[in-house]
Parts: sequence; C-alpha cells; structure tokens
Amino acid sequence: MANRIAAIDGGMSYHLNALSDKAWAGLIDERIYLPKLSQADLKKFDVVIVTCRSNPDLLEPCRDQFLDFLDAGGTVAAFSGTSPERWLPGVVAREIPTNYWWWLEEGADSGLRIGAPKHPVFAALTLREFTWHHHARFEPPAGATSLVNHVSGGSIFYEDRASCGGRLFVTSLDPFYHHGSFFMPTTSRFLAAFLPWIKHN
Amino acid sequence: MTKPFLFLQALAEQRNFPWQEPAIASKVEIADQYRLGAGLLGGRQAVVLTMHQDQWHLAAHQHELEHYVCAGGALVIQGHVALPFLSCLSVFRPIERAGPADLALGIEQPEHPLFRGLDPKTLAVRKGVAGFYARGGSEPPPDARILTRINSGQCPVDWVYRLGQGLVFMHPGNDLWTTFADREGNLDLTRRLFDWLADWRATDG
Repeated sequence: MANRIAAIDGGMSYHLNALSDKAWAGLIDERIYLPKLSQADLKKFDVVIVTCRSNPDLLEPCRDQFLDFLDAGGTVAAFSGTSPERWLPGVVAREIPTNYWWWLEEGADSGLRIGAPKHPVFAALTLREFTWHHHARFEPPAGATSLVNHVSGGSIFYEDRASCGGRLFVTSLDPFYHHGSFFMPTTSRFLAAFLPWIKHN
Repeated sequence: MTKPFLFLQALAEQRNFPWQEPAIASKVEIADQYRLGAGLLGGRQAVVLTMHQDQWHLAAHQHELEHYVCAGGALVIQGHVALPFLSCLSVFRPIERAGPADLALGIEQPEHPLFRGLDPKTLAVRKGVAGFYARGGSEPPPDARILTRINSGQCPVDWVYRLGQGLVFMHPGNDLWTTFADREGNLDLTRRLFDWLADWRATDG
C-alpha cells in the first residue's frame, strides 16, 4: 500500500511552488502549515517531508512530536536548511562553505560518491539526480547507512533506522528550494524520482 | 524610540548580515514575521520583506499591510510572489527556457538612487552565469513605474507603484543584500536601498 505523505509548507514561495507542482502534488496527501505543526496529528501519515529551509525555530519545539512519530515507525525526510540536529535524533552536522561552482573547475568533480549502491533508492535515482551542490556534511550515527558520500568525508544523504523505531532520511540537498525557485533542473529530476519512490517505499 | 525602518525576518539565520552593520543597525529594527501587526508597522518610513517570507501569513495580514502603505509607508517586496498578498500583486512568472541573452538586465531608470552608476552586468552575471538578478517577474499594475527589465525589455523586473499615500517596491529576485558575491557590494546595495527609502518621495513621489 502506498505511504501517506505529509509535507511541511512554510508559506515561502518555493514551498508553495514546489508542493503545488502537478507532476507530484497528487503524491502528497496533506500539507502541514509549519506554524500549525504542533497541532498536527502526525500519526495519520507514514512519511513526513520537512521541506528545504523550513524554519528550525519552529521545528525545534515539535521535537517530541517527531520523536513519537519516529518511534511509532514513521519516516521523516529532512532537507537542507532545517537544522535537523536541533529536532531529530543522532544528527551530527558539519557546516561547510558551499561550492556552487565545482562544475566550472578543471576536471569538474562534484566529489559525491554513492555510499550504498544496493540501497533500493538507487533503483529509482542515480548519482546524477543527487548532484548539484550541498550545504553541510553529516557524520551518520552507528548503524545508519550513508547513501551519498563526499570524497572529503561525511555524508550528504543518509538513512538512519538505528536511532529510532522508524526511519530517517537526512540530507543537505535543497531540491524544493531550487525547483520552487524555477532554477537548477537537476533538482526537478530529483523530486520527480524521489517523491514517487518514497511514496511506495 | 521606534526605528524608522523595519525588516520582517523569516529565517533563523537572517539575524546577521547586513543587520548588524552599524550603519544599518542604527535605523533598522528586525522583527519576526509572526509579530506582524498594526502596532509593529505604525510610524515606519519603510518595511522590508524578504524572499523567504511566509506568504500565507502575509495574505492573512493583507489589510494591515495595505493600510500601512495607503497611509504613507513604503513596502519593499522581494522574491517570487506565489500567493498575491496585496491587491496590486500578481504571481511571479519565470521566463520559459531562458538563455543568457534573455536574462541580461536592462536598467530603465539609470538615475534612480538604487541603480545610479551600477553596471547591470555586475548585478546579473556571476562567473559568466546569467540570471542572478532576476529570471522572471510579477506583472506590474498599469500605473507602475518600471525600473529594470529582462528578456529584451519584454519582462518588467523591478517596479515602483504608488498605492494611496505610500509606495510599493517590487524586486522579484533574491534579497538585494545577497546580490553580489562580495560583502562590500552587498553592503553598498543595502545602503543604497535605505538611503533611497529615507527619501523616496524625492524620486518616486
């Protein structure tokens, strides 16, 4: 059976644009308005997507709500700019200067490498869909699986089933921001592949 | 004493640059967006919004915002309007399949205090990549004064519009204090913004 998905809507233009995109809006069962998150019943959902730049000042007071949801077997996918270390378990983030321009450098290399090629997500996405820039690197906790690593160390996208009863995806990628701001086509390809995947996995 | 300008902060990290710069901090108050109300707006020369604003919330406060402008305030709107939160706004439309030439910026009012002496290429192009200033626009009201355009002049970008006794300034791009790669350029543009807002009737009244 398909997962019931909730996505956080902070009212920013890029949230409104990205979540309303007809290509995948039908995959999202409900949008939770961020200032009203504390009143939301997360138990109705299997997956909660915390969209890029959802304000961590508003997420942090809902930490227990997320922990209860995770311990009941739920999935949380936290995207860039949400400071997940403030409201999710086991998150260790390392801020880095974002290199937006690696693709203009000689011998251009994003530095990204697949960390777990047998993970089912790679039946739906390739490294290409994860490749634009990233805003932090994480040290996944023991038992977690890094899906995409950086050659300098750290993960930019990991899955953690060890720190809670459910499943966490933590990433420093910002596809909702860029797709909803009408630039960086790779981010559109990411959402077009990732959202159907998480709907059914 | 109430500071003459107000910035409505939307993201946690927006407490820093450029608001801590002495020349800016002395005259701009930062307030969380969710504190918005008539009491916060009253008496301000200008209110500056960011591209990250919660537009559901702004729409719920449309009456207060329009009342503030009609009574003589200036309102700076930045970013993409997805949910028109004033009656004079329309949804942002990107230029479809835009190439570098389509994204070249033309400054229609080169003597405007915000743009005087600025090279439009430095605003719009970074490391040879175009489109940093704007990639589309929000259709201006019929009586608006267009300040800049892209798409060979077909797409208005920045515009000013007199609403009642006040002014709406639309900048449908990234927050102006993030325009340049360097801090000095961004600080200069921020200073220009507030210098203009302090005396906007001299050029746009």
